[in-house]
Amino acid sequence: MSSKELRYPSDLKYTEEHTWLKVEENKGRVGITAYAQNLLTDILFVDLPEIGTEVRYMEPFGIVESAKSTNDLFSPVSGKVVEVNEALMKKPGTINKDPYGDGWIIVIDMSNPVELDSLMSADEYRDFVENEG
Amino acid sequence: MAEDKYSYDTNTKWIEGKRMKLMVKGKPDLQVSTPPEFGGPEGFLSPEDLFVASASTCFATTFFAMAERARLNYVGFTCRATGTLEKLEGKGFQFTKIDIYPEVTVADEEERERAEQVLGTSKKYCLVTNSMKSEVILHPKITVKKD
Repeated sequence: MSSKELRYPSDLKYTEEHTWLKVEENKGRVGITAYAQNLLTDILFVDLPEIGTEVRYMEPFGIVESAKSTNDLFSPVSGKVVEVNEALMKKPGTINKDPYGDGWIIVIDMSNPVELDSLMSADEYRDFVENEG
Repeated sequence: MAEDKYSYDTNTKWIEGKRMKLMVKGKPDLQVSTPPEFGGPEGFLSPEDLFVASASTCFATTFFAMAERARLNYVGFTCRATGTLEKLEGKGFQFTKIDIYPEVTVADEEERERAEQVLGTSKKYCLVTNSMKSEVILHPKITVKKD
């Protein structure tokens, strides 16, 4: 699948490390993009942080292991993890099937909303991955 | 990091009749012969055996790799395979189908779904079966170890 065939939902914000963030009031739901899951191929394991873990802007908060590689997951914002998608422990492949829906990974209670300004819009991210590819 | 290209060298030397020695540098020799159904002696591995075994053993090694990546907690693994050799109109004999029967034993019912995923992913990435033109059918079985 080429980067042009992938979805880039307009209500999300994106990072150069291919994580997305959906703002839900003062919280942010985080996952990896369709482009990332397509590169990773079949996802076999996700190392999730514990609820209460402090995560920092653009620093790793977990790992994702696929049939082809192991990659860090980067947090789009700083804050405290308030939800983790435990269902991924049993069905990590959900990220491949529904990266923007049931494949979400964590929810962060954002401590520095100014960081949102540095994230990319859908159009900016689409340009980024098309240039990267 | 894995390379993009590898090569594998084997050598064979005739012994007598329809028997040969299969040699791979640095590894034990094997005696291989024409199978009995095609006029060879009993009691030796045949190319047909090795062809089917290459499918099942590669599937197994792929499973081990994927299970490690998935952190799958399995306590047993077996893999039987059956190749179907058929005479095709105008083409002679060919393997038309390979049935692979992997059985994974997990310690906990909670591991069942992930074991299914790992088996499915192993079939997808098995490089030997992906190189074969025979149809490859997976018949997975997952059992939970009883204390």
